[in-house]
Amino acid sequence: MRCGSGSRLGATMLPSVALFLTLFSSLLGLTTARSPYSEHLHLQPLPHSLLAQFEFSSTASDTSLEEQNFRFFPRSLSQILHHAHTKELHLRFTSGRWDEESWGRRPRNGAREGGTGIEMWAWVDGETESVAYTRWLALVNSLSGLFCASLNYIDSTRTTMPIAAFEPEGYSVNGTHNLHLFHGTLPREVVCTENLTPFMKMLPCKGKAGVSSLLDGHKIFDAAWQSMAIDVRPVQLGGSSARGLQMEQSIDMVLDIERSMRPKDDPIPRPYPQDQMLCDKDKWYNQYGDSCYPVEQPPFPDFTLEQVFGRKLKGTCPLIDDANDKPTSICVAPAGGQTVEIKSAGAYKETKSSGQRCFRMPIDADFDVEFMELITAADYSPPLPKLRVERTISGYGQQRGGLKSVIVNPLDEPVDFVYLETLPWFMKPFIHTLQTTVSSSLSQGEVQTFRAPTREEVINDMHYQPGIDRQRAAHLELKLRMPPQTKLTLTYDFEKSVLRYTEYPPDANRGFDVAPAVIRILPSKPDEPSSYVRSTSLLIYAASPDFSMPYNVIILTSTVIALGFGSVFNLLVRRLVGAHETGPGGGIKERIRGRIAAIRAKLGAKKKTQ
Amino acid sequence: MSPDRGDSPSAGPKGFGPAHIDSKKIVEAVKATRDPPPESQESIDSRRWIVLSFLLIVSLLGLPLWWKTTTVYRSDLPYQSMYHWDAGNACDPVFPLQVVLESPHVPVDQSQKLLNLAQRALDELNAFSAHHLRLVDSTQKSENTVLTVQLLPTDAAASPTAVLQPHATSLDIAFAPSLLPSSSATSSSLASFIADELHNTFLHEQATIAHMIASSPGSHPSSKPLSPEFLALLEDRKTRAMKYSPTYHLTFTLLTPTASPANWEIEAAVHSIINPLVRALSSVSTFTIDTQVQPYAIFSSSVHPVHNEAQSAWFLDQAELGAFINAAEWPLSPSIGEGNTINFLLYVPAPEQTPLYIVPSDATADASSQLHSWLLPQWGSAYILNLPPSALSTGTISAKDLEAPLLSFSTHLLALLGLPEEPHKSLPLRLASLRRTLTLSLLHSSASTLGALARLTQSLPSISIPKPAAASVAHTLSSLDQACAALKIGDFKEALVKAREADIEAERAFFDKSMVGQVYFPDEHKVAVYLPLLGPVAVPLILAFVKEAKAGVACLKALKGV
Repeated sequence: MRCGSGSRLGATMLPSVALFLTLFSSLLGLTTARSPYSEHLHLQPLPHSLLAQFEFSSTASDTSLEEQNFRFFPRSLSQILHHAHTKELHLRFTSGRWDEESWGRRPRNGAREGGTGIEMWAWVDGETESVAYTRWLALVNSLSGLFCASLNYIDSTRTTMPIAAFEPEGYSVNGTHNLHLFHGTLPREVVCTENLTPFMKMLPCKGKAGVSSLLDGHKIFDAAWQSMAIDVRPVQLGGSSARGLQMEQSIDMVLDIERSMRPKDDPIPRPYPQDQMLCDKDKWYNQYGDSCYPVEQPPFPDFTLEQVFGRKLKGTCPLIDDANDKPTSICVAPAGGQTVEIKSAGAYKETKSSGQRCFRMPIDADFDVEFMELITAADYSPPLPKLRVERTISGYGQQRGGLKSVIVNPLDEPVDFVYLETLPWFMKPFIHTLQTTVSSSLSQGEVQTFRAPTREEVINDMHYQPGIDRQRAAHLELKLRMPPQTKLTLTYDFEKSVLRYTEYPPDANRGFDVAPAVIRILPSKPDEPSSYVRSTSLLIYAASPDFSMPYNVIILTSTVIALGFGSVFNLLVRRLVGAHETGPGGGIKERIRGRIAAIRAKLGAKKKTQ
Repeated sequence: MSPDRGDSPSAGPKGFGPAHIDSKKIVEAVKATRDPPPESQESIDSRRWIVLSFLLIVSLLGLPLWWKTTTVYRSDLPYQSMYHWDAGNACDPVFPLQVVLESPHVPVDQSQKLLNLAQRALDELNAFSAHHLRLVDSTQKSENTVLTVQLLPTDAAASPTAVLQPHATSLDIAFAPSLLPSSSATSSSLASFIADELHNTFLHEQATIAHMIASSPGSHPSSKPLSPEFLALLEDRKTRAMKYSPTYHLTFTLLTPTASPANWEIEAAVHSIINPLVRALSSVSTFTIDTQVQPYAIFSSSVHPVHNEAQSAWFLDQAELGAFINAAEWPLSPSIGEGNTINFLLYVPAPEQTPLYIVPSDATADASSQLHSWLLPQWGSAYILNLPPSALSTGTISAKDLEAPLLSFSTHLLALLGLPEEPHKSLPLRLASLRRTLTLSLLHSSASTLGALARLTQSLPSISIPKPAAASVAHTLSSLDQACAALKIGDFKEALVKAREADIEAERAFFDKSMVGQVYFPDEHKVAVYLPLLGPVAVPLILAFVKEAKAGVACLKALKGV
């Protein structure tokens, strides 16, 4: 256990906090335990929902990778990494929003999640930055084919090279490599089943056994929040000389229980039948039985895994190494007081620890967990997140706008963090308008003593690289420090530039997505890993033209030119004479005038006769 | 303009009358129309000049400029030589094979005599001039030497014997020294024996090349018709062989429908069986080898093996083999990087479905000669490995059990590369033969690509021909010429390199990206888009011209009339 704070906090804090810490320490523990393949599922009921964390990890030694003998490490991915000289890769497919108010702190401290859409970053080897950048492009293009995603759209305008927001996770050999960090995002990308299929293909048990047998695209991408992650990093194997690559695949999701349990053939939500309605017995009119004042359904209803995931959990994947020091493949952390029942035909092993029950599932036998209903959970409060972030667009019109990030520190200790913002090139921020406002979120009495820190005290460091039109994204990195129990408001103005005709995406009137801001919370102790929080993505509306524009432009200019030509030509060619010198009979004009005069004369004659 | 209207009855302001001025009359007089004053000849002429010069500038400068600036770019292609190559008239591929007669134990004059006699005998045997053997003595041995004939005089041999070395390009002929021809002999049994042996060694290749040349356009009908069996063999080889590439990736995959076996001693097996073969093949292409294990990989659901009670075995129908590969679920994506991937699949059936065999094509075959493997043309090879339960229990397939599958894979690898079956004994000779046939087929394919490109660009006048495509065509033509020249001097290695270059460049020219996009913007669209400009400009121009022309004609008539 490298995570030293686990024992200090475990006894006093809420069980789920301890759980996160144990989970994190077990994650770290993997760096010492070197089984070729392991998998793990962690289940935790949240109010009206279920948090499921799948984790698959495989390792391969450098020698086997060089000889290209693959066992559980996927051949396709390894060949791509080798081809692109990539030492460490992090790839995220995320959809939905993590609801901090009701779910609390993010799973794995946010280290295995990405911003909405696709986010990836990698450390690429290269003598110079341009060589490494070419390899990065090769990497995104190859991964695009592998994961059926539009990763190939990560070009220079979506790539940044963050300085402080990311740290390599893997074992690094100093001096031997010239590594460059690249970071790219695709906030517009819709994550869907076609991204899950290649993900499943990489698993040795391929969803036919083990915890991966629960994974179903229909449920995952219907979840309130899900994040699919692939992390490849260099590790040391056993002794000091042998090295290898470790790949971690993880899927974290929050399933809405009621939504997931709808029958497949009738997925339309309907009101509860009368006898299943929960009524407030305190209301006087409920005594007649035909009326009901409905109360909310219990936050922790009764459900089984098969009901929620729509699939059977088919026991342990037999390819897990038994010598692994993490023999549990499924862990359940019921909410306080909730009981859990196991249904399995095979023999399973159970280990209990603080707040959670872990099981070694049987091989070749189904395994199911039933969570019993818990009505009296009024005292349930989720663990506080380290930071809460909210980012919005202010201003109006199609030319100017402002960006406003509200960051809340709910804890009793100051927080140091790095704020990374990647803006598309057509958003031009004015850094001189960057304002910070710190206000206390303490109660009225204590607020008296609060002194708002100045901008210099909040912003410790700043790195800003302005964007270049059509070439580079604007990249802003701030190192900030927030006092305890405060709210920080960060604002700056920006200008939207007008795009060229071909630069608009399909459905341009929907707007342009701006990648989520990444916040890396720096650890207070050097041993601890950093945790991450991401804001939601933004949709900005830029002036979009009428797309029949080129044709209109041609027609308009043609008409103007023709007009000019016509008048000049007529002036040159026509003979100009006095109005009375046009000769008798004149042209069409004269004839029409004559006709009109004749008709008038007739009408006039009639009037006079009357 | 109209000088004849001078006497029109219009009421001019004639009455500046006596004392009283009738204002009404004045207004009427002003309103009254009158003929325009006669135009001076000077202004008529200048107007005519203006109309004419406008018309000339627009039609001679404006229109061509507009057409030129909006037209698609078409570089000049050497159509003449492209069609020339396509028709097969640019190069007659010849294959002069240099064979060295090495006779360290025979006097020089006798060996020279033998050489001449053998050459004469060879020429008599050979009916196909494009592919012929040239015997030279050991002093002329060079890089281009195809085969070395070692003359080994032994007293023991009664009649001469020939042995083809399996790992070298060498033919050893043992003979009694008495068989050496005398200086005055006009024929020798030894010489004709050597000629026969050499002829037979290259007979297969010669027939192949003769067939390839005969089936290419612009060739003269082959003098000797080939047997249908041989044609079927050639066709078979052609359909099975992969497209030639300088690099091949060999991917060995262990597939099993359950979790076991998930381990195989493939490193050792590949090291002992595949590596030596790959080393021998390295002169043709380079090879990379990778292996992977895929448990829980079940064959396609459309394949249903049948259980045979009598033999207590499962059988796969031959017709179902094509559907066996579960491309949707098995991760058999091609390897990254240049080159083709050849897949070798080792399928270990589930214990309840073991043993699994393929139904033999003739029912008489007994159980001992069960079919295990089949070749997937231009893709790879598959092998069903039925392991006894004892071997399965360890979860690891031993290197010994892998021997049979890997041997089957290596035979299939040679077939997939298009290696000719003859001469069966010598792998280097088969490889050299493959190189020559490859050169010829690459020459043919790049020439026909050039022809197709020429026809395409000429049949679609609105397609653009970008500069890179034209450069590729030029490169192809020069490479083709060089390959042809290299063939003439018997430098087959160089010829293959150049033919490969020609093929790559020809494909690059044909599949140039910027050519395709323009097809959908024909000239009608261009005119339609610019019609708002062309119409309003053209109308006054043409009307003015017509008016002037009419007036001119009327003027001429009037002049004649006078």
